[in-house]
Amino acid sequence: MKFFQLIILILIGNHLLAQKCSLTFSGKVYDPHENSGLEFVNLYFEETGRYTQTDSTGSFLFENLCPGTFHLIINHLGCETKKVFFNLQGDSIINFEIEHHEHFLQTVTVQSHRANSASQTQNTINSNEISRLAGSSLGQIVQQITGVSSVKNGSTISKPVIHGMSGNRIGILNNGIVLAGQQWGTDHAPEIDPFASDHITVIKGVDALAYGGNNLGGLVLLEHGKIGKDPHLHSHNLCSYQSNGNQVALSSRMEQSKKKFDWRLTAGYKFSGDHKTPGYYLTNTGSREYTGSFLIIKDFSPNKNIKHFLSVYHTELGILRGAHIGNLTDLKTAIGRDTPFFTKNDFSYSIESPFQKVSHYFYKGTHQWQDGKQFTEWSYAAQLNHRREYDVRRGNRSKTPALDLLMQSYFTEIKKKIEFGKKNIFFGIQQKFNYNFNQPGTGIFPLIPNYLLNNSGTFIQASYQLSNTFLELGSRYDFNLLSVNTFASRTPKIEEVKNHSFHNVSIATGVKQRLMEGWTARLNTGFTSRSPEVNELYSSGLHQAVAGIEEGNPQLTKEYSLKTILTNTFNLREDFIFETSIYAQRINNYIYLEPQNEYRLTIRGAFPVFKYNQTDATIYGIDALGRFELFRHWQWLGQFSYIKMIDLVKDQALVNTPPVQLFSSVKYQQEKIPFFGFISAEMNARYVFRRSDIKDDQDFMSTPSGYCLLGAEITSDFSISNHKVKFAIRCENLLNVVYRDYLNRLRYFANEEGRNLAISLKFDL
Amino acid sequence: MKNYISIKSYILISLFIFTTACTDNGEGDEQELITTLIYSLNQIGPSTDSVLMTFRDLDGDGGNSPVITVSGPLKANTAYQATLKLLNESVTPSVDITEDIRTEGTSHQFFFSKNGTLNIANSYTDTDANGKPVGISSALIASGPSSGKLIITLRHEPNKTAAGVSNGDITNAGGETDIEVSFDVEIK
Repeated sequence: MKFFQLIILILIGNHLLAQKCSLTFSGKVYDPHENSGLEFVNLYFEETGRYTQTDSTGSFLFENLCPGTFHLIINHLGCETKKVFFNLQGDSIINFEIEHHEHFLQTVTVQSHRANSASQTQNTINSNEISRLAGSSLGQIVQQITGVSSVKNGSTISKPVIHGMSGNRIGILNNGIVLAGQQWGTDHAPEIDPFASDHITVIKGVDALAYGGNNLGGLVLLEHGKIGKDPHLHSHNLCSYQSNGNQVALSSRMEQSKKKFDWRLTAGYKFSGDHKTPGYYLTNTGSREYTGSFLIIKDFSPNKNIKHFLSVYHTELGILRGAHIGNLTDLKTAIGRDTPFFTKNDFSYSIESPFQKVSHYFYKGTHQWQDGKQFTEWSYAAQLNHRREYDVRRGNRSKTPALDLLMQSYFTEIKKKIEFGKKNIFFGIQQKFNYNFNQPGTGIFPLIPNYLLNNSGTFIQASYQLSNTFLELGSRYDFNLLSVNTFASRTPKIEEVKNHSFHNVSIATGVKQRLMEGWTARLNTGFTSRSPEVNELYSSGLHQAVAGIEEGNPQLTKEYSLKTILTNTFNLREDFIFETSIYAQRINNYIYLEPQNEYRLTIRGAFPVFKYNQTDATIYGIDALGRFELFRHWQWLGQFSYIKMIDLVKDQALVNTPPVQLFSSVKYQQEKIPFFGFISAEMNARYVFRRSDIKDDQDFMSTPSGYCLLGAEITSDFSISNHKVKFAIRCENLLNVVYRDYLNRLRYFANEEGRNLAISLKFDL
Repeated sequence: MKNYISIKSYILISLFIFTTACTDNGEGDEQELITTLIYSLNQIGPSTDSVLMTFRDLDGDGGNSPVITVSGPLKANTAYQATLKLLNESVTPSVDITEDIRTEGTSHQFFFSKNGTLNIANSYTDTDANGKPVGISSALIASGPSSGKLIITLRHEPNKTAAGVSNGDITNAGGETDIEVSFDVEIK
């Protein structure tokens, strides 16, 4: 079993001489991907201050050590530093695996028990990157990856977009479980704290069969790492400040490995006020966030363990008051104004209507057994998502939510992986219930009716490892039963129960081929069917936030998607990596919200009518990433992404697709002192082109022009009395450029944020 | 043993959602719905001529089209005292929303505008707690014979101190539109 962090432990010999401080401790540090030794790895005993470095074969040797318990720190330039606890009682040989490629920022990692992923195009953001971006949202963090952007609703709400797909088509997974309650469009942020995770992985490939459901666009996985086998209490603390919005964010994690169980506790707090564009404050864009999680792992034997994970998330998000739209006339008045209505001259932390208040409670239990070559996992999870949206209302009702949804989700699965030499079989069954209930008392007709979704799924995957080739084949079947309490008429109100059932089938194949030393190609093809979600079938009424009457269509049928993605990775030398992905996707019956050529007269004025409709669409694009060492200590990184989405029926570009982007950075890295101090300084530029293929009559406002943003960053690692400290200071939009972003729905009303200075400090105790 | 407890609780939870799944959408009547606007004009002076304009959409947004009526033409060169009334008639008994607006006068204002060559002039005859106009009562002067649309707009949380707003100019008012109705008016 290959674990991410380290792991082979062989203790040999038990000399009597041990008590006389003459123990030797030696071993080798490996790169798990190349299976070769790593040189210049620093090893450091926290207790005694002794250190050494590996030689050209990756070997190291300590002599004349005293017996006792130690923390060994393993550090390699730019890698994630590992801390290992062990009890030294005799001469020892220990071999370590460290994730060497992680300093490439994005890398393909094979994690234990994620057998489905080896031939997929996926990118991981490690904990170093996550802590460097302290205080940012999940959308902002995953945007670091080529081909991933984020669709925003002002300063506070953002959602990831993978290869042009977002919302219903992207699964966001909290420790293996799909986050429920992401079905209601762009104005709902994911209910998750990215800083409680160690790794954030984006899978861009076709269907990740083991997670299933409706995720034909890709997956964002947030995972916590293993708890180190260390009997001491350790804590990692992160605090950050961002000048734009005067945001303060604190995050802390404590963990310990006790005799009977291992535990970890995390807590986070974020507090921000009005954000600022170069010219004015974005009034009412503050936010609050409180998060916490608890993980407990009990090992019954090396082959059997139980995990319980509990997390709590609460947020309040202000929404730009000047973007609150009453009707079409208001929309016309507000669009393209230099300064939005209601803009105040002063900074404020206060949050007034309109705003959202969201609470999310999550529990997951996992049982794992390893029995020879068989690995079995049973999981069960429950989620409670309480979403309240507050509007500007008459008669002192602003304190009463205009939308009050309570969504419960229950899930259980059994997965099994069997190894036959170089062959693997991975299969499982899953059962999920989602129950959405509109809380009474809002006094407003609900946009989305009450419903119950029952999803039963099963999948099987097989993989085969030849010398230079890795083959994968899998399929998945889902049965969805949707029962909706819809309305036959509103006045008088007559409710009616409608049932829908859908059978979905997905098939995926993947090949990973090592063509030459340092050149790996991945080809992935998958067919997926996705059944329509409840908002697509049964939305009904005025969606005030988008100034339109939205109507679902109960006649919608399944979407069929065929996607192929070819990824080539060139890793010719340690300091040279070049990766390209080319993809093409055909979606038949693509469901989208279509503006109708119709205005409906109401007492609030005439509103445009939007209906959910289906068409056939084609998507294709390229992602490219290059990174190499210019000179010693100097690194260059370049990223490029291009995407085109076409509506084949109307023969025109689809709206809300990410613009072409170019990113380039130059980084200087230097180890200040032999074992720890590490400093890096970076300058970067992001150029976003105008989406010129969108015609003016496809949108309220012509697409915003291109822009170039400069950024700078300095990070440093050092230690103060054996405590590791990581310091980062970065500046975004250095030149305070005025621009509007095409994927921000509030682009009609206000400019994007101006210069932002962020400082973060991480210290381990 | 631990596994047993987990299975049991899972089954219990599953049963719970099945039993609650049958409850209805739980929503009472829509509290803020305005179905009806009545604009009544009474001639100022000895004559008691009056004109009544109504906008009525009993099923709210969407559904059936609203019914818009104007009882007759305005008299040329005549001054009228005008009163607005807002109702929610989707419920029985109907709810008078005008009082809400009056109570929250500082955060509401009606605006009167016209298109075409309609010869009318509107002026406010009421004020809120800050001495700014609301528009529940107003005056209308009809000049020479003409015709066109009269548009009545109710703004929620307008910026009443912005330029021109207290004189009835909606351009800088901002806020959110609660009502926007228009009537075909003729002056004879």
